[in-house]
Amino acid sequence: MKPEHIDALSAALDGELVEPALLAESLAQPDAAALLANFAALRVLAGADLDRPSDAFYATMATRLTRPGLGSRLLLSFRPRAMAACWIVAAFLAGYLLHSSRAFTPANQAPSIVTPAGAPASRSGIAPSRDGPGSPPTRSTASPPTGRSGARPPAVPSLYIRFGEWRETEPPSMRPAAGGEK
Amino acid sequence: MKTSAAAIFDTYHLAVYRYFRRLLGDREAAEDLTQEVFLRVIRGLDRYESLGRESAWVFRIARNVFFDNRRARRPDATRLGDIEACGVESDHVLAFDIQEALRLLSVHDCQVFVLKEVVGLSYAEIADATDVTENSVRSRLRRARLQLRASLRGRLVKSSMRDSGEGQG
Repeated sequence: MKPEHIDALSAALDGELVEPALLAESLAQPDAAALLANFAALRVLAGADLDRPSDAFYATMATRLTRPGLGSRLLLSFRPRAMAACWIVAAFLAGYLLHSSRAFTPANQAPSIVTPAGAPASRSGIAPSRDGPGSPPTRSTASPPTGRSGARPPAVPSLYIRFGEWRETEPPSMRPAAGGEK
Repeated sequence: MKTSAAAIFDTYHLAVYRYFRRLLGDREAAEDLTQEVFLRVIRGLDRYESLGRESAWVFRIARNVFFDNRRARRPDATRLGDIEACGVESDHVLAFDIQEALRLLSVHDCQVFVLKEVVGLSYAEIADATDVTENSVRSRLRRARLQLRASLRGRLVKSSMRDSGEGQG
């Protein structure tokens, strides 16, 4: 018997579409009936003695189906919360940076400080030299009075960030007033 | 309409269990693998869109679970495309029962046979579940049936026509 005859008999047994002429030709083969009977017997054997799953299996699956895995549940519940947390952190960060940049706007700065030489002190603490405008500038060594006698608190250097520029300076209120340097 | 995992379980759990039971012959292993199939179904349900081939989807998962388990037990059997014959000329070996006879088949022929005769899928569904063409399904099924017939000839119905066929040979 040719393979196509066996396929046609199989297809007929399985309820699949089969060409009628080919089926007739297949059925006319000498051992077609035996083959069909054997295939039917194989089906009976294949489906026989198949039990059902145990009660423990059903109990486990009932738990799994009603309560999916902890990991996936955590992931699903955590995802929107993580997004919300990221937005909150981003908002705080943006607010902080905005506040920091505004602290350095000219309107918020203290009035210009006049050094003993009469020239306005630069904001970076670099004061013009007393020797004149042509001389190299010198770093201001003025410091406010400390101790109980002074009305101002001790100077605490503060660190400001302005657009990535790190600058150590004194708060404006700590700077010496005109003629305060002795 | 979205199908729930519970509905899919109700529809297919027995067929999936029997598929593994027939392939493996071990009740406990069949239960474990069936459980694994439905865990994967639960995980994949969000991505699955019902296209009318739900059975093929479930049994594709079952087939993957079967091969994953097979690889875990036999790390050398990694090439799924290979026909993993058992090294026995089964045409000349009589099997005691269907379970034993199925072990004599190649794993792919065995898959197709079980999906047809135990699960009851159509050729198109088997082709979808096993990633082969319908013609391959037909040829694998033919090979499996002829081999099982030869292995189990002592247990199959003896017809006078078959006897006459043997007499001719």
